Amino acid sequence: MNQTKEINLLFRAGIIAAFATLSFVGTLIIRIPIPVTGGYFNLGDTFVMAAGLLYGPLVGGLVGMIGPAAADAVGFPQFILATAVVKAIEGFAVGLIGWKGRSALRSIAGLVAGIGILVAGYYIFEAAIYPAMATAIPFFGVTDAKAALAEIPPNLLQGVLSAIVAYGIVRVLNRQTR
Amino acid sequence: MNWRLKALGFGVLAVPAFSGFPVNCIPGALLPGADYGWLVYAAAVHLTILLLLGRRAYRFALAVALVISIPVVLLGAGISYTGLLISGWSQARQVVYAAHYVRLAVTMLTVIPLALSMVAVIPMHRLEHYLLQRSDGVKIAEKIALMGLRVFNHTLHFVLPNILEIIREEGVLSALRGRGGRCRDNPPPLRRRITGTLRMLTHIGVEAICAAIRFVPLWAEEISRLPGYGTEKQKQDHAPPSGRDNK
Repeated sequence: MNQTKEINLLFRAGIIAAFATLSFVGTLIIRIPIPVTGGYFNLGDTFVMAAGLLYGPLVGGLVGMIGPAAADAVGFPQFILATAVVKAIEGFAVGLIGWKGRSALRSIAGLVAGIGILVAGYYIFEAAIYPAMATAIPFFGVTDAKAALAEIPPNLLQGVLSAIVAYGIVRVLNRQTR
Repeated sequence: MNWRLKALGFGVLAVPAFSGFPVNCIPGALLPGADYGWLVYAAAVHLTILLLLGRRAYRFALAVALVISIPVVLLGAGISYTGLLISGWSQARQVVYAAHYVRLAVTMLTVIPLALSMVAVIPMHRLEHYLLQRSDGVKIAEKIALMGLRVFNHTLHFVLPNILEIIREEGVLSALRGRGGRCRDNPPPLRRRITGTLRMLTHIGVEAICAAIRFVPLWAEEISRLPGYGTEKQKQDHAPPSGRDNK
Protein backbone atom coordinates (compact mmCIF):
# COMPACT_ATOMS: atom_id res chain seq x y z
CA MET A 1 0.00 0.00 0.00
CA ASN A 2 1.49 3.40 -0.92
CA GLN A 3 1.79 6.12 1.69
CA THR A 4 -0.99 8.37 0.38
CA LYS A 5 -3.45 5.49 0.49
CA GLU A 6 -2.27 4.55 3.96
CA ILE A 7 -2.66 8.12 5.24
CA ASN A 8 -6.17 8.19 3.77
CA LEU A 9 -7.08 4.91 5.46
CA LEU A 10 -5.69 6.02 8.81
CA PHE A 11 -7.46 9.37 8.50
CA ARG A 12 -10.78 7.58 7.97
CA ALA A 13 -10.09 5.26 10.91
CA GLY A 14 -9.42 8.30 13.10
CA ILE A 15 -12.62 10.01 11.98
CA ILE A 16 -14.64 6.85 12.68
CA ALA A 17 -13.06 6.53 16.15
CA ALA A 18 -13.76 10.21 16.96
CA PHE A 19 -17.41 10.14 15.86
CA ALA A 20 -18.03 6.71 17.45
CA THR A 21 -16.68 7.99 20.79
CA LEU A 22 -18.83 11.13 20.56
CA SER A 23 -21.94 9.14 19.69
CA PHE A 24 -21.14 6.70 22.54
CA VAL A 25 -20.97 9.57 25.01
CA GLY A 26 -24.01 11.34 23.48
CA THR A 27 -26.04 8.15 23.90
CA LEU A 28 -24.78 7.56 27.42
CA ILE A 29 -25.21 11.04 28.92
CA ILE A 30 -28.79 11.90 27.86
CA ARG A 31 -30.95 8.86 28.65
CA ILE A 32 -34.68 9.35 29.10
CA PRO A 33 -36.37 5.99 29.69
CA ILE A 34 -39.38 4.77 27.69
CA PRO A 35 -41.42 2.76 30.23
CA VAL A 36 -43.36 0.55 27.79
CA THR A 37 -40.36 -1.16 26.20
CA GLY A 38 -37.65 -0.56 28.76
CA GLY A 39 -35.68 1.30 26.09
CA TYR A 40 -34.57 4.92 26.28
CA PHE A 41 -34.55 8.22 24.40
CA ASN A 42 -31.14 9.73 23.55
CA LEU A 43 -29.35 12.11 21.17
CA GLY A 44 -26.47 9.86 20.06
CA ASP A 45 -27.97 9.75 16.56
CA THR A 46 -26.80 13.33 16.00
CA PHE A 47 -23.20 12.20 15.55
CA VAL A 48 -24.18 9.17 13.42
CA MET A 49 -26.13 11.41 11.02
CA ALA A 50 -23.44 14.12 11.02
CA ALA A 51 -20.75 11.50 10.24
CA GLY A 52 -22.79 10.21 7.29
CA LEU A 53 -23.37 13.72 5.90
CA LEU A 54 -19.76 14.86 6.38
CA TYR A 55 -17.78 11.74 5.44
CA GLY A 56 -20.07 9.43 3.48
CA PRO A 57 -21.92 6.15 3.86
CA LEU A 58 -19.06 3.91 4.97
CA VAL A 59 -17.99 6.19 7.83
CA GLY A 60 -21.63 6.87 8.79
CA GLY A 61 -22.44 3.15 8.83
CA LEU A 62 -19.42 2.20 10.93
CA VAL A 63 -19.98 5.03 13.41
CA GLY A 64 -23.62 3.90 13.76
CA MET A 65 -22.59 0.31 14.32
CA ILE A 66 -19.88 1.00 16.93
CA GLY A 67 -20.79 4.05 19.08
CA PRO A 68 -24.46 3.61 20.07
CA ALA A 69 -24.12 -0.19 20.37
CA ALA A 70 -21.21 0.27 22.79
CA ALA A 71 -23.40 2.62 24.83
CA ASP A 72 -26.16 -0.02 24.93
CA ALA A 73 -23.63 -2.42 26.43
CA VAL A 74 -23.64 -0.12 29.45
CA GLY A 75 -26.95 -0.99 31.06
CA PHE A 76 -29.17 -2.17 28.19
CA PRO A 77 -27.43 -5.25 26.74
CA GLN A 78 -30.63 -6.64 25.14
CA PHE A 79 -30.69 -3.77 22.65
CA ILE A 80 -27.09 -4.09 21.37
CA LEU A 81 -28.04 -6.19 18.34
CA ALA A 82 -30.97 -4.00 17.25
CA THR A 83 -28.99 -0.80 17.78
CA ALA A 84 -25.91 -2.01 15.88
CA VAL A 85 -27.96 -3.10 12.85
CA VAL A 86 -30.47 -0.21 12.76
CA LYS A 87 -27.94 2.58 13.33
CA ALA A 88 -25.43 1.12 10.89
CA ILE A 89 -28.10 1.16 8.17
CA GLU A 90 -29.22 4.64 9.29
CA GLY A 91 -25.69 6.12 9.08
CA PHE A 92 -25.08 4.38 5.75
CA ALA A 93 -28.34 5.65 4.23
CA VAL A 94 -27.83 9.23 5.46
CA GLY A 95 -24.34 9.23 3.91
CA LEU A 96 -25.46 7.57 0.69
CA ILE A 97 -28.20 10.10 0.01
CA GLY A 98 -26.91 13.27 1.66
CA TRP A 99 -23.13 13.18 1.33
CA LYS A 100 -22.18 14.19 -2.20
CA GLY A 101 -22.86 17.64 -3.58
CA ARG A 102 -23.37 19.32 -0.19
CA SER A 103 -26.80 20.52 -1.33
CA ALA A 104 -29.36 21.29 1.36
CA LEU A 105 -32.04 19.26 -0.38
CA ARG A 106 -29.89 16.11 -0.53
CA SER A 107 -28.85 16.54 3.10
CA ILE A 108 -32.48 16.87 4.22
CA ALA A 109 -33.52 13.89 2.08
CA GLY A 110 -30.73 11.83 3.68
CA LEU A 111 -31.78 12.87 7.18
CA VAL A 112 -35.44 12.06 6.48
CA ALA A 113 -34.38 8.61 5.25
CA GLY A 114 -32.31 8.20 8.42
CA ILE A 115 -35.29 9.06 10.65
CA GLY A 116 -37.46 6.58 8.69
CA ILE A 117 -34.88 3.82 9.10
CA LEU A 118 -34.51 4.55 12.83
CA VAL A 119 -38.26 4.33 13.48
CA ALA A 120 -39.01 1.42 11.12
CA GLY A 121 -35.87 -0.50 12.10
CA TYR A 122 -36.59 -0.48 15.83
CA TYR A 123 -40.25 -1.31 15.15
CA ILE A 124 -39.30 -4.37 13.07
CA PHE A 125 -36.78 -5.56 15.65
CA GLU A 126 -39.09 -5.07 18.63
CA ALA A 127 -42.31 -6.30 17.01
CA ALA A 128 -40.99 -9.25 14.99
CA ILE A 129 -37.31 -10.16 15.33
CA TYR A 130 -36.90 -10.01 19.13
CA PRO A 131 -40.14 -11.91 19.93
CA ALA A 132 -39.08 -14.58 17.40
CA MET A 133 -35.59 -14.80 18.91
CA ALA A 134 -37.05 -14.91 22.44
CA THR A 135 -38.60 -18.32 21.74
CA ALA A 136 -35.06 -19.74 21.60
CA ILE A 137 -33.22 -17.23 23.83
CA PRO A 138 -35.40 -15.79 26.64
CA PHE A 139 -32.87 -12.94 27.07
CA PHE A 140 -34.43 -11.20 24.04
CA GLY A 141 -37.97 -11.39 25.42
CA VAL A 142 -38.17 -7.69 26.29
CA THR A 143 -40.70 -6.41 23.75
CA ASP A 144 -43.79 -7.33 21.74
CA ALA A 145 -45.81 -5.79 18.91
CA LYS A 146 -47.85 -3.56 21.27
CA ALA A 147 -44.78 -2.19 23.05
CA ALA A 148 -43.02 -1.64 19.72
CA LEU A 149 -45.96 0.44 18.52
CA ALA A 150 -45.80 2.58 21.67
CA GLU A 151 -42.13 3.29 21.04
CA ILE A 152 -42.72 4.84 17.62
CA PRO A 153 -43.48 8.42 18.88
CA PRO A 154 -40.39 8.71 21.15
CA ASN A 155 -38.19 7.22 18.42
CA LEU A 156 -39.64 9.68 15.91
CA LEU A 157 -38.98 12.59 18.28
CA GLN A 158 -35.44 11.31 18.89
CA GLY A 159 -34.81 11.05 15.14
CA VAL A 160 -36.22 14.49 14.35
CA LEU A 161 -34.30 16.27 17.13
CA SER A 162 -31.06 14.47 16.22
CA ALA A 163 -31.55 15.30 12.54
CA ILE A 164 -32.13 19.01 13.25
CA VAL A 165 -28.98 19.25 15.39
CA ALA A 166 -26.96 17.19 12.86
CA TYR A 167 -28.10 19.44 10.00
CA GLY A 168 -27.09 22.53 12.01
CA ILE A 169 -23.66 21.02 12.74
CA VAL A 170 -23.07 20.12 9.09
CA ARG A 171 -24.12 23.59 7.90
CA VAL A 172 -21.76 25.29 10.33
CA LEU A 173 -18.85 23.00 9.44
CA ASN A 174 -19.45 23.28 5.69
CA ARG A 175 -19.53 27.06 5.98
CA GLN A 176 -16.23 27.00 7.89
CA THR A 177 -14.47 24.79 5.31
CA ARG A 178 -15.74 26.67 2.25
CA MET B 1 -1.96 -10.77 37.60
CA ASN B 2 -1.33 -10.19 33.89
CA TRP B 3 -3.79 -7.69 32.31
CA ARG B 4 -4.61 -10.19 29.55
CA LEU B 5 -5.78 -12.73 32.15
CA LYS B 6 -7.83 -10.06 33.91
CA ALA B 7 -9.42 -9.00 30.60
CA LEU B 8 -10.20 -12.66 29.83
CA GLY B 9 -11.70 -13.06 33.31
CA PHE B 10 -13.96 -10.05 32.84
CA GLY B 11 -14.86 -11.27 29.34
CA VAL B 12 -16.01 -14.63 30.74
CA LEU B 13 -17.84 -12.87 33.58
CA ALA B 14 -19.71 -10.72 31.01
CA VAL B 15 -21.27 -13.72 29.23
CA PRO B 16 -24.32 -14.04 31.55
CA ALA B 17 -25.03 -10.29 31.26
CA PHE B 18 -25.19 -10.48 27.48
CA SER B 19 -26.88 -13.89 27.11
CA GLY B 20 -29.00 -14.22 30.25
CA PHE B 21 -27.52 -17.70 30.82
CA PRO B 22 -27.42 -19.11 33.50
CA VAL B 23 -28.75 -16.20 35.60
CA ASN B 24 -32.26 -16.41 34.16
CA CYS B 25 -32.43 -20.15 34.91
CA ILE B 26 -32.15 -19.75 38.70
CA PRO B 27 -35.70 -19.70 40.18
CA GLY B 28 -37.03 -17.41 42.90
CA ALA B 29 -36.83 -13.71 43.70
CA LEU B 30 -36.09 -11.61 46.76
CA LEU B 31 -38.50 -8.90 45.50
CA PRO B 32 -40.52 -8.69 42.29
CA GLY B 33 -37.82 -7.86 39.71
CA ALA B 34 -34.86 -8.79 41.94
CA ASP B 35 -34.34 -12.43 40.92
CA TYR B 36 -31.93 -14.54 42.96
CA GLY B 37 -29.97 -15.38 39.79
CA TRP B 38 -29.26 -11.72 39.05
CA LEU B 39 -28.52 -10.87 42.69
CA VAL B 40 -25.95 -13.69 42.95
CA TYR B 41 -24.46 -12.60 39.61
CA ALA B 42 -24.30 -8.95 40.74
CA ALA B 43 -22.51 -9.99 43.94
CA ALA B 44 -20.02 -12.08 41.91
CA VAL B 45 -19.32 -9.15 39.54
CA HIS B 46 -18.76 -6.66 42.37
CA LEU B 47 -16.53 -9.07 44.31
CA THR B 48 -14.44 -9.84 41.21
CA ILE B 49 -13.91 -6.13 40.47
CA LEU B 50 -12.90 -5.52 44.08
CA LEU B 51 -10.44 -8.42 44.07
CA LEU B 52 -8.91 -7.85 40.62
CA LEU B 53 -8.80 -4.04 40.41
CA GLY B 54 -8.66 -2.98 44.07
CA ARG B 55 -10.75 -0.77 46.30
CA ARG B 56 -10.07 2.55 44.52
CA ALA B 57 -11.07 1.33 41.05
CA TYR B 58 -14.10 -0.41 42.53
CA ARG B 59 -15.28 2.76 44.25
CA PHE B 60 -14.87 4.71 41.00
CA ALA B 61 -16.81 2.10 38.96
CA LEU B 62 -19.58 2.01 41.56
CA ALA B 63 -19.82 5.82 41.68
CA VAL B 64 -20.11 6.08 37.88
CA ALA B 65 -22.71 3.28 37.86
CA LEU B 66 -24.79 5.10 40.47
CA VAL B 67 -24.52 8.46 38.67
CA ILE B 68 -25.70 6.91 35.38
CA SER B 69 -28.36 4.54 36.69
CA ILE B 70 -30.11 6.56 39.40
CA PRO B 71 -31.47 9.28 37.02
CA VAL B 72 -32.53 6.66 34.44
CA VAL B 73 -34.36 4.50 37.00
CA LEU B 74 -35.95 7.37 38.94
CA LEU B 75 -36.90 9.34 35.83
CA GLY B 76 -38.36 6.20 34.20
CA ALA B 77 -40.36 5.36 37.31
CA GLY B 78 -41.53 8.98 37.55
CA ILE B 79 -42.71 8.99 33.91
CA SER B 80 -44.44 5.62 34.34
CA TYR B 81 -46.27 6.56 37.53
CA THR B 82 -47.28 9.95 36.11
CA GLY B 83 -48.75 8.08 33.12
CA LEU B 84 -50.57 5.77 35.51
CA LEU B 85 -51.99 8.69 37.49
CA ILE B 86 -53.20 10.43 34.32
CA SER B 87 -54.72 7.32 32.71
CA GLY B 88 -56.31 5.98 35.92
CA TRP B 89 -54.50 4.03 38.64
CA SER B 90 -54.24 0.28 38.10
CA GLN B 91 -52.76 -1.93 40.81
CA ALA B 92 -51.71 -4.62 38.30
CA ARG B 93 -49.76 -2.16 36.13
CA GLN B 94 -48.20 -0.57 39.20
CA VAL B 95 -46.81 -3.99 40.21
CA VAL B 96 -45.46 -4.55 36.68
CA TYR B 97 -43.74 -1.13 36.65
CA ALA B 98 -42.26 -1.65 40.11
CA ALA B 99 -40.76 -5.01 39.07
CA HIS B 100 -39.46 -3.49 35.83
CA TYR B 101 -37.58 -0.66 37.55
CA VAL B 102 -36.16 -2.89 40.28
CA ARG B 103 -34.89 -5.24 37.52
CA LEU B 104 -33.46 -2.28 35.56
CA ALA B 105 -31.65 -0.99 38.65
CA VAL B 106 -30.13 -4.42 39.38
CA THR B 107 -29.06 -4.86 35.73
CA MET B 108 -27.53 -1.39 35.43
CA LEU B 109 -25.70 -1.61 38.76
CA THR B 110 -24.21 -4.91 37.58
CA VAL B 111 -23.42 -4.23 33.93
CA ILE B 112 -22.03 -0.67 34.21
CA PRO B 113 -19.23 -1.49 36.73
CA LEU B 114 -18.43 -4.61 34.68
CA ALA B 115 -18.16 -2.65 31.40
CA LEU B 116 -16.04 0.07 33.06
CA SER B 117 -13.72 -2.55 34.56
CA MET B 118 -13.30 -4.25 31.18
CA VAL B 119 -12.10 -0.94 29.72
CA ALA B 120 -10.02 0.00 32.78
CA VAL B 121 -8.12 -3.28 32.77
CA ILE B 122 -6.64 -2.62 29.28
CA PRO B 123 -3.48 -0.48 29.67
CA MET B 124 -4.06 1.88 26.71
CA HIS B 125 -0.75 3.76 27.04
CA ARG B 126 1.29 0.56 27.36
CA LEU B 127 -0.46 -0.84 24.28
CA GLU B 128 0.44 2.28 22.30
CA HIS B 129 4.01 2.16 23.58
CA TYR B 130 4.26 -1.54 22.66
CA LEU B 131 3.02 -0.92 19.11
CA LEU B 132 5.43 2.00 18.61
CA GLN B 133 8.44 0.02 19.79
CA ARG B 134 7.95 -3.19 17.82
CA SER B 135 11.19 -4.11 16.11
CA ASP B 136 9.62 -6.24 13.34
CA GLY B 137 7.49 -3.42 11.92
CA VAL B 138 3.84 -2.51 12.42
CA LYS B 139 1.05 -4.21 10.47
CA ILE B 140 -1.61 -2.02 8.88
CA ALA B 141 -4.29 -3.42 11.23
CA GLU B 142 -2.08 -2.45 14.18
CA LYS B 143 -1.65 1.05 12.76
CA ILE B 144 -5.43 1.39 12.52
CA ALA B 145 -5.77 0.13 16.11
CA LEU B 146 -3.13 2.65 17.21
CA MET B 147 -5.03 5.46 15.51
CA GLY B 148 -8.32 4.35 17.09
CA LEU B 149 -6.74 4.17 20.56
CA ARG B 150 -5.19 7.62 20.26
CA VAL B 151 -8.40 9.27 19.09
CA PHE B 152 -10.51 7.44 21.70
CA ASN B 153 -8.18 8.50 24.52
CA HIS B 154 -7.94 12.08 23.24
CA THR B 155 -11.73 12.42 22.90
CA LEU B 156 -12.51 10.85 26.25
CA HIS B 157 -9.79 12.46 28.35
CA PHE B 158 -9.32 15.91 26.73
CA VAL B 159 -12.28 16.81 24.53
CA LEU B 160 -15.15 15.83 26.81
CA PRO B 161 -13.82 17.47 30.01
CA ASN B 162 -13.32 20.67 27.97
CA ILE B 163 -16.87 20.49 26.62
CA LEU B 164 -18.23 19.96 30.14
CA GLU B 165 -16.19 22.98 31.23
CA ILE B 166 -17.77 25.06 28.41
CA ILE B 167 -21.25 23.90 29.48
CA ARG B 168 -20.53 24.87 33.09
CA GLU B 169 -18.79 28.19 32.38
CA GLU B 170 -21.33 29.49 29.90
CA GLY B 171 -24.24 28.57 32.15
CA VAL B 172 -25.79 26.48 29.36
CA LEU B 173 -28.08 24.52 31.63
CA SER B 174 -29.59 27.54 33.37
CA ALA B 175 -29.97 29.28 29.99
CA LEU B 176 -31.90 26.25 28.73
CA ARG B 177 -34.18 26.42 31.76
CA GLY B 178 -34.79 30.11 31.04
CA ARG B 179 -33.16 31.30 34.28
CA GLY B 180 -30.13 32.98 32.83
CA GLY B 181 -29.28 36.66 33.52
CA ARG B 182 -31.89 39.08 32.17
CA CYS B 183 -34.51 36.38 31.74
CA ARG B 184 -34.83 35.61 35.44
CA ASP B 185 -38.13 37.43 36.03
CA ASN B 186 -39.46 37.13 32.52
CA PRO B 187 -38.63 33.69 31.09
CA PRO B 188 -38.58 33.44 27.28
CA PRO B 189 -41.53 31.84 25.46
CA LEU B 190 -41.46 28.10 24.83
CA ARG B 191 -40.69 28.46 21.11
CA ARG B 192 -37.61 30.58 21.75
CA ARG B 193 -36.50 28.20 24.47
CA ILE B 194 -36.72 25.24 22.06
CA THR B 195 -34.81 27.02 19.26
CA GLY B 196 -32.27 28.23 21.83
CA THR B 197 -31.78 24.68 23.09
CA LEU B 198 -31.29 23.33 19.55
CA ARG B 199 -28.82 26.12 18.78
CA MET B 200 -26.90 25.39 21.96
CA LEU B 201 -26.80 21.66 21.17
CA THR B 202 -25.53 22.48 17.67
CA HIS B 203 -22.84 24.74 19.12
CA ILE B 204 -21.72 22.03 21.57
CA GLY B 205 -21.76 19.41 18.78
CA VAL B 206 -19.57 21.58 16.49
CA GLU B 207 -17.12 22.29 19.33
CA ALA B 208 -16.92 18.58 20.22
CA ILE B 209 -16.37 17.44 16.61
CA CYS B 210 -13.73 20.09 15.86
CA ALA B 211 -11.81 19.25 19.04
CA ALA B 212 -12.10 15.48 18.53
CA ILE B 213 -10.80 15.47 14.94
CA ARG B 214 -8.25 18.28 15.32
CA PHE B 215 -5.17 16.04 15.39
CA VAL B 216 -6.45 13.25 13.14
CA PRO B 217 -4.66 14.43 9.93
CA LEU B 218 -1.41 14.92 11.84
CA TRP B 219 -1.62 11.53 13.55
CA ALA B 220 -2.53 9.79 10.28
CA GLU B 221 0.65 11.11 8.70
CA GLU B 222 2.77 10.33 11.75
CA ILE B 223 1.50 6.76 12.13
CA SER B 224 1.81 6.06 8.40
CA ARG B 225 5.55 6.82 8.70
CA LEU B 226 6.07 3.92 11.11
CA PRO B 227 7.94 1.11 9.34
CA GLY B 228 5.46 -1.35 7.86
CA TYR B 229 5.56 -5.06 8.62
CA GLY B 230 7.78 -6.91 6.12
CA THR B 231 8.78 -3.77 4.16
CA GLU B 232 12.12 -3.60 2.31
CA LYS B 233 13.58 -1.33 4.98
CA GLN B 234 12.59 -3.77 7.69
CA LYS B 235 14.05 -6.71 5.78
CA GLN B 236 17.32 -4.81 5.34
CA ASP B 237 17.43 -3.77 8.99
CA HIS B 238 16.91 -7.31 10.24
CA ALA B 239 18.85 -9.25 7.57
CA PRO B 240 21.99 -10.94 8.80
CA PRO B 241 25.19 -9.22 7.66
CA SER B 242 26.46 -10.72 4.40
CA GLY B 243 29.34 -10.45 1.85
CA ARG B 244 32.36 -8.41 2.89
CA ASP B 245 30.69 -7.30 6.13
CA ASN B 246 30.86 -10.92 7.32
CA LYS B 247 34.59 -11.05 7.24
